[in-house]
Amino acid sequence: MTAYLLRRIMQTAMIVVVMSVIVFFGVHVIGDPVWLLVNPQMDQRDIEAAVRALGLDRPIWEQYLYFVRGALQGDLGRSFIFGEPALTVILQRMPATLELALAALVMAVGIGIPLGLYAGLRPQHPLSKAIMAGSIIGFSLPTFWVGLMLIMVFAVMLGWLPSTGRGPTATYFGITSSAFTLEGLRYLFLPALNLALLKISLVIRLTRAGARESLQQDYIKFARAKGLTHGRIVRVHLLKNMLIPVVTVLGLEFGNLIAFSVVTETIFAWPGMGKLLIGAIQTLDRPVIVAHLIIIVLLFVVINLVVDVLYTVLDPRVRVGGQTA
Amino acid sequence: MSLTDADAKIEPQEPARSAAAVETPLRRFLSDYFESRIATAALAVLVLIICLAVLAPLLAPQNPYNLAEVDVLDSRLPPGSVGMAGYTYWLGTDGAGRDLLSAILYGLRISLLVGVTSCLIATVIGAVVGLTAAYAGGRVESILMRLVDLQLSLPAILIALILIAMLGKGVDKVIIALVTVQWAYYARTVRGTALSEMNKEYVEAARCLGFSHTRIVFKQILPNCLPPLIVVATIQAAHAITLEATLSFLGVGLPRTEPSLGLLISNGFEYMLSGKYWISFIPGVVLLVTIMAINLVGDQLRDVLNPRLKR
Amino acid sequence: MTAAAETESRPTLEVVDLKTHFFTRAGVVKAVDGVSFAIAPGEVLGLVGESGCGKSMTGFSIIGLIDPPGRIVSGAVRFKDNDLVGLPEEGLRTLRGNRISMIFQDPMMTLNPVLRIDTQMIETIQAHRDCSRSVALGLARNALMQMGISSPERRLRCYPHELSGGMRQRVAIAIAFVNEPDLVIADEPTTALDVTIQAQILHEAQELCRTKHTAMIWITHDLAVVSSLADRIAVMYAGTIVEQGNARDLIRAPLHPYTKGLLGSVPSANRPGERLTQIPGMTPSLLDPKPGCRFRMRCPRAAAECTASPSISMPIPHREVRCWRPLIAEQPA
Repeated sequence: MTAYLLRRIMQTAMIVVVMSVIVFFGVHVIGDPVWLLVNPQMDQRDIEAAVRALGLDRPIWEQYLYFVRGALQGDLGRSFIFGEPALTVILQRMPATLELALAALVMAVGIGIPLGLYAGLRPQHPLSKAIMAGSIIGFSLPTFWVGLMLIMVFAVMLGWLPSTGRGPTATYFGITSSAFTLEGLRYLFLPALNLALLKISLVIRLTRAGARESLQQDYIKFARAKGLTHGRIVRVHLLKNMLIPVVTVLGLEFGNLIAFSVVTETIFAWPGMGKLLIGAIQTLDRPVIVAHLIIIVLLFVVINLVVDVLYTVLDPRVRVGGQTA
Repeated sequence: MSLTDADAKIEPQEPARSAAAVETPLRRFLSDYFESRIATAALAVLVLIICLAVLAPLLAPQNPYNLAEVDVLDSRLPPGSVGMAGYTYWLGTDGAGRDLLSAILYGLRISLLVGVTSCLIATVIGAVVGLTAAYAGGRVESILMRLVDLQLSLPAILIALILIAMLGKGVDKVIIALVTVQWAYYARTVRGTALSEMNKEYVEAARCLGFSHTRIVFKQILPNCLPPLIVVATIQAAHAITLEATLSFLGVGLPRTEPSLGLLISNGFEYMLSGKYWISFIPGVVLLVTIMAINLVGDQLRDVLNPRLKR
Repeated sequence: MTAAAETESRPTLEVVDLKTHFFTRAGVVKAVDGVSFAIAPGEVLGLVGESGCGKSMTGFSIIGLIDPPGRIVSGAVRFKDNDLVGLPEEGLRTLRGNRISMIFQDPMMTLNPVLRIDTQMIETIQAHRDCSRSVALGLARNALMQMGISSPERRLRCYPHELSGGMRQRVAIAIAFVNEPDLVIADEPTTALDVTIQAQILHEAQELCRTKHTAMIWITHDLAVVSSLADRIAVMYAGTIVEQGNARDLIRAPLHPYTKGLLGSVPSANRPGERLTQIPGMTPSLLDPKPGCRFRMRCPRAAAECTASPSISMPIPHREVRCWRPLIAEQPA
């Protein structure tokens, strides 16, 4: 098990290195690197001084090494707009995004799995057909439009929930989150729902497919032949088998959720990384863009690694070095 | 309720077809497709939308981008109201006084154009890569497939955003971004199908007959890869249109000179809180209907073309 | 007769004219079409037939595991005063795994791959009696030991994929016997195993039945397997039983041409060098079967009268056959 983990960590590190090379060289080949790292508003002499200071007049491989050295020390450039290190700017906003993504994930799972399970166990029931029809609609809805509609219905017409911004936060166990306050939850609800909607459809379809496939397996028939109660069969035999693919996909989708939060954060003015990125693209705050990309890639590979480990925990067949008879 | 698979069915045998009816694959495909009423309706809607988009300049009562025709005093009128020139705005007007009906028709045109163009280009690129990977095998295949996996593991919107950040704005840049995001799906599908086709005997027979590689690939393997390719293309078209709308909505998509539905929705955003919802709502509904129609058609195509569900 | 003796003489299971049909889009598949037999306590009945003859469906019908689009259309399955046909699901559930158990063919598919062996055994015990986990664990361990599995504690903590095929099937059999049922239905339990393991498992199953006085239906397509194991044999063809009787007598001198054909195709040490006979033709489809004897297309003895469906006759005591022209001449005097 540890050997496997070590191997995966090595692979992860390799991917990060490869990505950093691609990002760095890609950016330097496509755009003018000077403009990437130097504020184009400065006058010519300052620009030249900055270019020398940043080593931009050196050969490219040396620049890369310089970049890596800076990156390892946590320096990924300085934001033009905020005047602070890009990394700091991003990390300040990361908790908000993670909070939103997690809330959306919880919603997607909490709503999607029971609905999908029902649709899988009773496929002929009208409710099941309604659920499946709903999932097709949910799949087709553009997230940003749904966000607008949610605001329109719940904030403008009904006035139940606030339309923009993040609520007050509280800290428990060293984690600061707006989900810990009641008022914060009111602000969190709509954006999380918006983000979750796309995934709910996915979870419903996955769960239903998993349930239907598992139901046809012989071990369910054998469980019935043993005289087990219906409840136990669903809870223990069905669920565990079904959830393996669902969990795997969800884990990978978490990364997607974080990426897609760009849209939700923009609509609901949620102060997270996504909104920062859009702003950076529109104002051409390139160091922030680069730093954002690198952090997202890091997040992604870490998530992949966690999902892999989780998979081996859930499915005993995959475990390396198990006992044999 | 029981834990039984309530729709287990034994496959029916083929009813005898009369000798008079010519049973071409195309005819069978069409009859299979139209078995589903929903899919047929979806196809009808889709055809209607395409016609509307193509004929937009002829159908639209007003050219919303010709400033001479737009009266800013008519702005933010609700649907059905009559404007200054005695002209009825069926779907209302937006913030600048443009007739929403016309704006939607033009916007639909651009959305569909960008979406379909990027889809076609991505199909070609993806198919070429997939076929090459499958046919060449070995290291070429593994490098190409690594690239595909890498591409597919990153979220589409992120890739698109980064590309636009690097390349700048403009219609061509958006199309490049959309193509980059999509080609990998096609490559993977085509490679998979091509691999299974290559194991079939007719390919071996062709090789024994000394056919050139290009001939085998293009005349033998590619036609058989088309059905799954068509299914993926349909679904990806929906994704491309959605992605473009999302990017335009965020302000990093198409420029204001080529306003797509996404931009219309974004323009209407600021008026939502004051209750003038139609400016965002109606274009959104049009977008939604388009995407749903494409998805439904794609779903039915997938069921009909799926060789494992042989009817 | 004393009450005990009377209980003893009453059959454990009585199947009377059982019919299980499947209602599909293409038509009605008559998988089980009029099957009758009885099993005495502790008796082993071998249910033999080709693939698709309906023998597995008979087993599933008895235990009530026929799923839509199939259902039992008529007939009775009498298990100790209860007619299982029409018994509500909860009643069936209390019997399954408890008084009637079933062993399936492929143990890899029938044991849940993500649950440990002890979990799967304990739940069978706790589903039917109120006992603590440790008591159930003890019972499970004993059941494994009775099946000849050494170091049962270690095996209990394993997952199914960590055991060999033969071991898994032993576990499945142990699960079937753990609640000391009156009847065990074994659906081709050794078909998926090596020949060497087959013999071992046959022997162990036989021992278990004898010691626990459990009745068993052993469903198989392999006459050789069942010849040493069964007390009585019923031969099935195309949804009906064509011959039934004492195992040894049936094998020595079959009455039905189909049984004779089956026996002829089994290599036997007693007839070295003799050619194996083949039954020509293929099993008929069970979809909307035509009237008449279903074997007549392949029968060397078919005649004009065979266009009518034969009824069951008993030309020799304790030997039933469904044929107009049974092989009476070849019986021993």
